[in-house]
Parts: sequence; structure tokens; C-alpha cells
Amino acid sequence: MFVKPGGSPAEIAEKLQARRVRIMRVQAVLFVAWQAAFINNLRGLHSPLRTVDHLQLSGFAVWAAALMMLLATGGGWWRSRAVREILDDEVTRAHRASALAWGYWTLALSALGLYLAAQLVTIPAFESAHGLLTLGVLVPTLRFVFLERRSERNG
Amino acid sequence: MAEATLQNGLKAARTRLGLTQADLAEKVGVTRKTINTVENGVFVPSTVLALRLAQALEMSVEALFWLSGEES
Repeated sequence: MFVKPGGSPAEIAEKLQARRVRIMRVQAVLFVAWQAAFINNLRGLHSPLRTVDHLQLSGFAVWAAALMMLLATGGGWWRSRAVREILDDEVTRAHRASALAWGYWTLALSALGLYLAAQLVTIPAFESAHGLLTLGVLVPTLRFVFLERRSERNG
Repeated sequence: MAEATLQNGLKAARTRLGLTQADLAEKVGVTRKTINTVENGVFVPSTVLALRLAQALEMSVEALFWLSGEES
């Protein structure tokens, strides 16, 4: 699955781009699926946290950071400059800009909702942060995947 | 006044030269999806990309891109 594609820089970039979209789509689905498990376990978290809880939460943070890195840089980190430039061409940058704008509005509106809700109910900081992090990673990722797939299909 | 939209003759020019989207993408240094989105009018290219496309298709930018309501 992760065999390095060969050929000209354009051919390599073409394959990496398709792979990037596939990976991001699968990761987004897994990311959502993991939330279901997390929410089920949330009330069961020990206080103070056990080592296993720390590992689970740190793993989630690393996962979120990796997805953010992939979205921000476009991937192809070990490829030549020529491949990376094609991989991060004008349309890709436009899709990323749109994805990040969606992320911004999602976070801003979610923060607004939390701000208003916090006047009525107590919302633990950790749960707020987790929710914001999840939305802040998931929404831009899904938006980017949607735009990339649409541009492949019919422009 | 209605807002003018960018039209292009990219597909016609490309096929005239017998190039596929992938061929043109390689000549210009972008991915095929960029050519696809420009051809379909989904994406408005930057001046730099428009110049590169025109150069690759041996045309002037004005002949390749025009605003709706104008002659190509």
C-alpha cells in the first residue's frame, strides 16, 4: 500500500495526491469512530488520570496533530522539491484555504456556543477543549477531501 | 451590471495540440485536477498560471481566456 510510486515528478505527484485524499478520508472516518468510543469512556475516566488514560489522550492529540500537519503541508515530505511543488499546486492551495476557512468558522461558532452554554451549565474545560480540537481537525479535513474529490470528478 | 465570469478555450486549444489533461498538467507543472477545474470554469487561475497555460498552448492569454459577453 505504501510503495513509493515511480515515474516523472508529475506522475508521482498525481499518485501521491490520490493517496493523500484516500488517507485523509479514511482517517476522518476513523477519527469520528474514535469519538464514539471516547464519549462512551469519558465518564469512566479516573481522576487523577491513570497511565492508560494519559496514553489514550496523548495518542489522540498526536493523531490530531498529524492530521493537521497533513492538511497544512500537503504531505510528500520525503519527496523531491519538484514533486512537492506539483502536489501543492494552485488548486490544492485554494482547497486548503477553503478548508481552513471552514475550520475557522466552525471553531468560532462552536466557541460562541460554548460561551453561551457556559452561562447555564458547567462545562469542564477538558471536554470543551476536546470538542473544539475534534471539530477543528475534522471539519477542515472533510472539506478538503470533498473539494479534492469533486475536482477529480467533474472539475 | 451583471458580474462578468471568466470563460476559456482551454479544452479546444489542448485537443487541437493533441494533448491530454495529464500532458498539459505536466508541461505546466500542476496536477491534472488543476487543468480539469480550470477547463470546467470551477477554478479561476492566477495570472501566473494563466500565462503558463497560454505559453504551453502557444497562444496569447487573451485568446485563451476572456470575460463572458466578450468575443474570444
